[in-house]
Amino acid sequence: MKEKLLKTPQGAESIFLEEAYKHEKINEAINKIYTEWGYLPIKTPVFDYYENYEKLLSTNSKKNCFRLMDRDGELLLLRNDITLFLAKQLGRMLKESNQSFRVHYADSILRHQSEIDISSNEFFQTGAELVGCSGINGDLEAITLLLKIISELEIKDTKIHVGSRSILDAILNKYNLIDSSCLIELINSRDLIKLKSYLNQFMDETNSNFITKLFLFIGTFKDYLKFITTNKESIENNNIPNEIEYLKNIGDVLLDLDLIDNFRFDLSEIANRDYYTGIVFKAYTKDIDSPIASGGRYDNLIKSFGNDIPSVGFSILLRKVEDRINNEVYNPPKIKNIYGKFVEAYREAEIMRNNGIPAIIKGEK
Amino acid sequence: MKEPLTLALPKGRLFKQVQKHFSEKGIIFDFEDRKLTAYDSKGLLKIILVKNSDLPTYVNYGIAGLGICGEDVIYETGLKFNNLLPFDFGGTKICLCGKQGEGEKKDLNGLTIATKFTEFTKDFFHGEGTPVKIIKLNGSVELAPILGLAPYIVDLVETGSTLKANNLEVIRTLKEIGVNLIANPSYYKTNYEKINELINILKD
Repeated sequence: MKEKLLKTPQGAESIFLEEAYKHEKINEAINKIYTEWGYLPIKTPVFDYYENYEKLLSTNSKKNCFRLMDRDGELLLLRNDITLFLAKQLGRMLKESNQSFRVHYADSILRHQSEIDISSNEFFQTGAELVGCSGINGDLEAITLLLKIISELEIKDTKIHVGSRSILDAILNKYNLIDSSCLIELINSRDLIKLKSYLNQFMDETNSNFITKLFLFIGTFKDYLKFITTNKESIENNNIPNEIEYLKNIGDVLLDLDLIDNFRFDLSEIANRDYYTGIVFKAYTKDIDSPIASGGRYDNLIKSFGNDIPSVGFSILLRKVEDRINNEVYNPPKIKNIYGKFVEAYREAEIMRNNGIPAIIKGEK
Repeated sequence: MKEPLTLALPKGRLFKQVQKHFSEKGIIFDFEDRKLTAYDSKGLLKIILVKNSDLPTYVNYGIAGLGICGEDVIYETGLKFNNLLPFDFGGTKICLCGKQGEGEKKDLNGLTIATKFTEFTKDFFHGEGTPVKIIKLNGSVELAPILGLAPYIVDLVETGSTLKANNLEVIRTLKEIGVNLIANPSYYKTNYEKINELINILKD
């Protein structure tokens, strides 16, 4: 019994007092921004039928998720990713494809975390989705909204890395013998030698050199423009000028908005899941061991639940960054202790409370 | 001065080889007696010294952004890192070994194997279609066949002299094991410029 009292199951956490206050305050601040941008809240169920999501889960999520059985013997999945649960609901809500709407969410997620990975703090997701809106304006709205939240919360030393799933898809299309999961794994591992030698099986060495360079590229917008000029011919030969140009157009707008310094162009951001279709982005903060936010365009996600509706969005793993947010406004205010007989103390306390000062009635000294 | 990159190095056999390779590239460092952290002469690196098998954990948590580690150790953890640069030192082989002259005999249960490398052994033999029963040991694995704990072991073999001294032999090599400069993927993303500079210095 004592052991069970002291132990918390892997993947569960409780937040207390000041920390919980801060968590809620930060969440309120984020919700305020969503509201200002015209987003409305949406709540997802805590569990749903597993088979709806099975094909959308990565091998890793399949390992980490919690499944249970309902009274009829149906397999259920506890909410392990809000975006997925949301997609099913959105598919039902949006019957006509010409509608668009904006939703935001904030909730706990349930995933097992191994002992070795307990620092990853993946307990809480807040995020936004722009549904039914295809094209560059939707993409720009998603990344600038994410940036707005990061700047408003003053999460220092953070950059949003923007990449593209469509570049990967175009390459896979041209070289249809390449195994996509193998290529994705090699790109994620950034293993230059293995990546190059894998690609060599499908193309000549000049081109495998280029594609290796392409998928390992990270740089500022300036570096990206230089990359395009230097590799113009290879970009043409691999049928990716439109995809490359698309990211450049995103960069041009961010430059005009004076926001470009917050972004890195990162072609190794390719997304691990097939339902991504266009831009892909992740936010990285110095000295935090994994991305604090990720998102992208996933036009195939809602489609997998029946309706073909484009969508772009992101989610922030808020618990990862809370201790980096230092603004005093998120800390609980000082509480005034009031002593004396209850009647007088109550009156005095009420005056304080009405003036915005929290007060506790302590009784007689 | 720029903030140094953090690098975890494993105690033990690899350490001297890393130190030598780095000093050939002009990066010189040494640990004062019993100290576990040090800075290199150029101020590029803050180096921490950790137990080999703990190294992936430090890098995974981002306590050290970079590490130098054998593929065998990484494989056991199942964690994903960036493999930024292979080194030509420290390479070894992971082998199936048994008593001299007895070869590889499978019964209905497949092979019974004592090893430190349980994940690798399981995946390797299952990949081949051979069932395996695995007994986890943490060291002196060579004792297992001698004392009758398990007829086979899977272990790293460098010179083979320990095997020979215990009347064991390599039955077959399962995989060549290399040593790599690894990085926490997020650490790479937030420090890619500095890390690329370091790779250029270390490249042969």
